[in-house]
Amino acid sequence: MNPFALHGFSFLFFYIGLGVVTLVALRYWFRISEPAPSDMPRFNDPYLIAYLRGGEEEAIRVTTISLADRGLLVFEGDQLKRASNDRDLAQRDIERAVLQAFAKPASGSAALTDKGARRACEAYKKALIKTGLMAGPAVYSKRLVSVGVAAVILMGTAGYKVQLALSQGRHNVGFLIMLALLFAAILIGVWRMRRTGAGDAAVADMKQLFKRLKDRAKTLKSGGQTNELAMLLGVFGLTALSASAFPMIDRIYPTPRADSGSSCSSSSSCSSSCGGGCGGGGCGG
Amino acid sequence: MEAAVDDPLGAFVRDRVAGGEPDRVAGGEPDRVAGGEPDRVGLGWRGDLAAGIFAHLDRIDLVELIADDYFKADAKTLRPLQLLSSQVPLTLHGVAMGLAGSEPVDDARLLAMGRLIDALKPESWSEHLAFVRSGGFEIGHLAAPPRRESNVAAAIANIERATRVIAAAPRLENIATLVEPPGSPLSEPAWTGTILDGAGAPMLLDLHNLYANARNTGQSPEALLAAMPLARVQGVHLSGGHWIDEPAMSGRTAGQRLLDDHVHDVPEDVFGLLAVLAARVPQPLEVIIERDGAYPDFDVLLGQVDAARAALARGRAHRHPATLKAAA
Repeated sequence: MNPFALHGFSFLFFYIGLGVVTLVALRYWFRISEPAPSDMPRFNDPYLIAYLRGGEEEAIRVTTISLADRGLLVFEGDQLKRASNDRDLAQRDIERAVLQAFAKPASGSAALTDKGARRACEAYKKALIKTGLMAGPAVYSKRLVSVGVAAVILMGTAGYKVQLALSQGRHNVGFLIMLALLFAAILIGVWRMRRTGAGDAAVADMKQLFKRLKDRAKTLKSGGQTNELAMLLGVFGLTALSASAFPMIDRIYPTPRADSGSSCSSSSSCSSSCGGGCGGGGCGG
Repeated sequence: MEAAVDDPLGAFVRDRVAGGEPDRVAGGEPDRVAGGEPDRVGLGWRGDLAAGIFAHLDRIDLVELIADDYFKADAKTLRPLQLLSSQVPLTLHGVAMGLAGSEPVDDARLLAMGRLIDALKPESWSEHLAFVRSGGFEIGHLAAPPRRESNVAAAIANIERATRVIAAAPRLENIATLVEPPGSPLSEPAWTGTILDGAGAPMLLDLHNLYANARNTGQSPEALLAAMPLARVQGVHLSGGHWIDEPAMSGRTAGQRLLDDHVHDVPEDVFGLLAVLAARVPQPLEVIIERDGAYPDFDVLLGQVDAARAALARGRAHRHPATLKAAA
C-alpha cells in the first residue's frame, strides 16, 4: 500500500502513527546509545539527586526545605529568613548560597531565581555531565544526527505529501502542516532532554531503592539530624511528604501533595535476614 | 554428572570455573593480614534505611544484602541494586540454603546465588551453619542441628559443593539457639571448627548469637568466644535481642532465655566481645550491624556503627602479643 495515496484523515492517522513510532524509536536509540557511566557519582548528596531529577529549581527547593527543617531558615511572618549569621552551619555550597539568598526576609520561591543559588548548581551540572548522566555538548552533538534523521523522515514525509496534494489541486493541508510543526517541536524537545538514558535509569533506580522509605514517609520526623528527609525529597520531590506531617513545606511552597500510606508490598525489602526463618531460636542469623 | 547437556548446574559451574579451580576465600591466613586492610563497619541493607545509608556513605564502609530476597529477581529488579553496588561495597547474605543439613544443598538455590553474585559482584557471600529443611519439609526457621561427627561430613560436602558452584567459599555463620540441640556430643566451637577446617571456609561470627547461646547455656560469653575458630573469622554480625520467659518444664524451674530478634539495639556486652575479638585476631574484620524492624532514628544506628568502630579500635589497641607476632 502506498501511504501517499491516502487522503484526508486517513493520511493524518498514518502520519501520526509514523510520528509516534519515530519518537519512540528515537528515545530507545538514545537509551541504548548513551551507555551507563563507568564511574557513577556518589549519591550521598540529596541536592545532586534533586538536580539530576529536576534541575536547578528542584535542587534549590530541596535545599530550602532541608535548611528550614534543620532550623537554619526560620519564618518571619510568611517569609523565610536566615536564622544565624554562621554560614559554617551549612555543609554544602548550595546550602550556603541559599542561606545567603535569605539574608533578608523573602518568600520561599525567591531563592529559585537567586543568581548565587543557581551558580552553586553549576558544580552539579558539571559533575553529572562528566559522568554521563546529563547531556553535555558531546551528547547533544551525537543526538543531532539521530534527531536529524527523524526530522528528515517526518518533515520529508509531510513536505512531499503537501507538494503532492497541491499539485493535485487539493489545499486541505493545514492539519498536516500543524502536525509536522508539532512533531518538529517535540523533536527539538527530545534533542534538548537534560538527562541521558543512563541518567533516566539512575533516577528510576534511586526511586526503586527508596520506595520503602517513601511508603513510610509519614514516620519521618521534622528536624531530623540525618538528612533522611532531604534524601527522600531529593529522590521523589515534594510530593513524597504528606502535608499534615510537614506543614512547613506548604508554607514555603504551596503545592498540592498526596498523603502517602504505609505498606509492605515490596517483597524485596520486607523480609529480613531471618528470611522466613524466624522461629523458636529467634532470628538466629 | 555435571557434563550432562540438560544439567543447568553443571553448565553453570563450567562457565564460572572454566580453566581452573574455584577461588577459595582465605580463612584468615597471614598473607591477608600482611595486606594491612583496615577493619570495616557497615549495615544490613533494608529499604527503610535507604535514605540514611545513602546520606551517610562516608560513614558506612559496606552494606549487606539478603540474597534470598532477590533469587527470583529479573534484570529490571536487579538494576537498582547494581546502582547500590556502585556506591558502596556489597556483601551477600543467604538465609535458607541449609548448609548444615544432612541433605544435599538445593541446586536451584546455588544457581540463584551464583547468578546474583554475577549480577551484583559482591565482595563476599555468606550463609548460616543451620538446617532448614528435611525430607522436603521446610521447618521455617534457622535450626541448630545436632552437633555430631556424623553430620559434619554432610555439612562439609554441602559447603564444598557451594564453593564449587559459586567459585568462592561462603563465610559461615554461627546461629542462635534457645536450647542446646539434643544429641550433641560436640561443643559448638568444636563442631563449628571441624566443619570450617574440613571445608576450608571462613567464618562469619555473629557475636549476638554467640552471646545469646552462652547466656542460654550458662557459659561465659568470653570463654565461648575464645573457643571459636577465630583465625577463620572474616565477618562479624552484631544485633540485639530480648529476654523471654521460659516456662517451668519437667525437672527445670521457670527462667528466662535470650532471644536474638534483630529489633533491639546491640547490647554493650556484645560490643565488648567485638573488642575482645579484635584484640585476639590479626586479620581485618568486616562488621555488619543487623536491624530488621522497630527502626530507631538513623542517628541511633550511626551511633552503633561508631560504637563498633570504637570497640574495634579498643581491641586493636590491646592486641594480644601472639596476634601481634602473627601479624608481623
